[in-house]
Amino acid sequence: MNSAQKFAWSNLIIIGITLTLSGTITLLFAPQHGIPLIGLLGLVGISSAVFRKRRRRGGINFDERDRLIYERSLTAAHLVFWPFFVAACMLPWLVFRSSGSVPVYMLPMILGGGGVIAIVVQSLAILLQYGWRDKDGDK
Amino acid sequence: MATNELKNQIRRLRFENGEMTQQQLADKTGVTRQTILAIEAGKYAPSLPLAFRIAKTFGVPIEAVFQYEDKPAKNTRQTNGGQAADKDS
Repeated sequence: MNSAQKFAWSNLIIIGITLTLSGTITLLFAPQHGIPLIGLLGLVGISSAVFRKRRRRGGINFDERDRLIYERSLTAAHLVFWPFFVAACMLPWLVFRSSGSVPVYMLPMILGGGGVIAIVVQSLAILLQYGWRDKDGDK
Repeated sequence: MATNELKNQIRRLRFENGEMTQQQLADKTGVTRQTILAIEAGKYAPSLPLAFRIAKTFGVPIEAVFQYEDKPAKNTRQTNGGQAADKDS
C-alpha cells in the first residue's frame, strides 16, 4: 500500500468514525453534544501530512501512474463537489425564500458537507484506481 | 485504465534477464514497483518514454516488449456472428 492509498483509507476512516460518532451522540443525547464532534474531521488535514510522499532512499515512490491517478481522483472530486455545491446553495433559497432568511447554520453545513463529499469521492477514486487491495506480485 | 489490447512480455523478459525482480526493473526505469506490476498485469498502459526505458533496460526493441492487439469491437463481433472469432483463430 503506497502513501496515496494510506491517505485515502485514513480519510475514509476518519470521516466514517466522526460521522458515526457525531450522529450516534446526536440521536442518543442532544445535537449540542454530537455536532461539536464534527470538529474531528480536522484530523483529515493531519493525514495528508503524515502520509505525504516520502522519497524512499535510492528509489521512487511517485511516478507517472500515481500522478495520473491523483489527477483523475481530483477530477472526480470536482465533478461531484460542484453539483452538490450548486444544489446546496440553491435548495435553501427554494426552501426558505418565503421566510426571507436562511438559517445561519446552513453555511458551515454547505461548506463542510462539500468538503467531506469531495474528500470521500477523491479517496474512493484513489482506492478504486489502485485496486482496493494492494496486490503483491513477486518481489 | 484497463488496456486489454496492449500485451507485454515484461515478465518473460525479466526472467530471461537474470531473474530480475520487479523492484529492480522499477528502480532501473524510474517508477514504482506497483506500476511495473500494473503494466505486467495489463492494467496500465505506460507512457511512450517509460515504454522505451523498459525496452532499453532489457536491450530489446520496444515491439519485443509491447504488442498491440487490434481487437474487433464488440458490436462488430455480434454483427458478424462467429466470423470474427473464426478470423482470430
